[in-house]
Amino acid sequence: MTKLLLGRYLPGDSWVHKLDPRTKLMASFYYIGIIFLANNWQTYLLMFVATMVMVAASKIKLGFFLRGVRPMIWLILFTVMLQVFFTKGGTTYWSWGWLAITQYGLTNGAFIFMRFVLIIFVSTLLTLTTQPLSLADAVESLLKPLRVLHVPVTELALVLQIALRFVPTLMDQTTKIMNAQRARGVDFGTGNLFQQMKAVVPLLIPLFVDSFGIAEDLATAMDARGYQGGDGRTKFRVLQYHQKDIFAGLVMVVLTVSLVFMRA
Amino acid sequence: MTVAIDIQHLNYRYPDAEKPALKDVSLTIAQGEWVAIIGHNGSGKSTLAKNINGLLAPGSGQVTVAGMPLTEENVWKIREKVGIVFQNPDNQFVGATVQDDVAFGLENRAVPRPEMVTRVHDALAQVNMLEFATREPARLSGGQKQRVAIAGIIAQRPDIIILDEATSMLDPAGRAEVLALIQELQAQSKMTVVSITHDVDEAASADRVILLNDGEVVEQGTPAEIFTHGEELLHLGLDVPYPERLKAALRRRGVAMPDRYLDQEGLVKYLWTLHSTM
Repeated sequence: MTKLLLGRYLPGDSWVHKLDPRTKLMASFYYIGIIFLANNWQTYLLMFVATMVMVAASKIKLGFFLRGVRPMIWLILFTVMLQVFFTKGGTTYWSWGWLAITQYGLTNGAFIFMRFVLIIFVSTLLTLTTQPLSLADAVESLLKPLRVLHVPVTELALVLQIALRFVPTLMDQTTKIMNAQRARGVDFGTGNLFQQMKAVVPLLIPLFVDSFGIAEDLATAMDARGYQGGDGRTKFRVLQYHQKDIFAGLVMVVLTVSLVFMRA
Repeated sequence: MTVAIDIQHLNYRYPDAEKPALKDVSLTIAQGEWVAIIGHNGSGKSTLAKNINGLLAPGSGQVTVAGMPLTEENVWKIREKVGIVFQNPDNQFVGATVQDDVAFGLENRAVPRPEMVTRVHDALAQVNMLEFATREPARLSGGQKQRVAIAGIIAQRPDIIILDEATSMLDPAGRAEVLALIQELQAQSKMTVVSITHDVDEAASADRVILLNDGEVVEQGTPAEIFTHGEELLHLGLDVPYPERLKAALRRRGVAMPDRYLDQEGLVKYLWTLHSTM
């Protein structure tokens, strides 16, 4: 349980892993944006090939990405069905009352399906190749301009970093409390929904109390080590753009231009 | 003799507490000295440590650290001189990885990054944790975490290091590991060490032992002097091992207990056979 981390980072040293986390974060959002530019077979094919190249560059097995699609599959199928049954136009293949399967409906359904899959693949690629901590660094670095508006960016980043740091600690604590309560006869994971919810109470309350204790200890330790908050601190962890990042940016530009020319 | 810490007539009372936690405590600790402060729980040991670097503000009296009186203006300068290793290895680990944690104190003091990198490296080398530099705390043992905490302090190059029951949550191996490290560091750098402890071995490594009881200094002297005062004094200062306390408590409830000394495992075995014959 202690090995659990937020996200599903897979350590590696591929080209994608080595990109600056800021590049990956921005490029992922941008890429998801331009997926919406695709509106015909050619453009969807282009985006599909581009995504597959990125997946290949990460040296991560395709299975991990497909697993990312699985929890969303019912939502995807539902949306695809809506498109298939309610888009009118072109040749009608089948109809029953107000339901009809048409040529346009089928193509739209396929496009929506592709769109979902590509978006999931790209966001999975981001979380699989970037450590949560690096993502936190990236968010801090990218939000820095907001300091002008007196948003406490450095403090928020530290809060985020400490939260990530204490996830395994609290998981450990949870296991300990669960065992202690089991020894006292609390039954976790059986009974109806209401009984299960009730069993969580003796778990949550000690955990809640504990986390306050931890917070107090941590605050004392931070104080003793000279933490005064604010922007007067230097940073041990620095992010630096490399040639790779420029290249990744160029790829995004080329893709955008191609999409604009190829779309219907 | 240069004085590292000088405390004169220090009094402290926690808000809402009936009794004062420290009563007229006066003591002087020389630069390079290793002093152990012992006393049972609630004797004011940790309160004293927190008064030295201004985590608590003295009620009355004068605290001088490295020649600077403890005042609101000096408090951050004093904290630069005094590093504290706390009891719980997990709750003082701020960084997401070992090297981030060691760098935390340096970041706070706005040390330029190139210097920070060398200082973090050197400190980790000194505590023998270099190979763990990029590990997350969840993958370290308690003793290793305390070594990282010590690295975080020596990276700041303080004059004084306070161990606030720093070994009390560790297993015997971790305790020995941390104690050996402190002895080595002290021999090398002549740092002043103040160790607040229940551990007999830790108290025995000190140059001087100060015994606190109910917020007052009861006795001070070399470990040999203190330990010859016999059982009673030891019971006043050093915690009776947990199995012994449990034995006494069970005996009071009328459970027959053997007289010989039992360690934890021995006691568990004894209790277990007791239950199965009932």
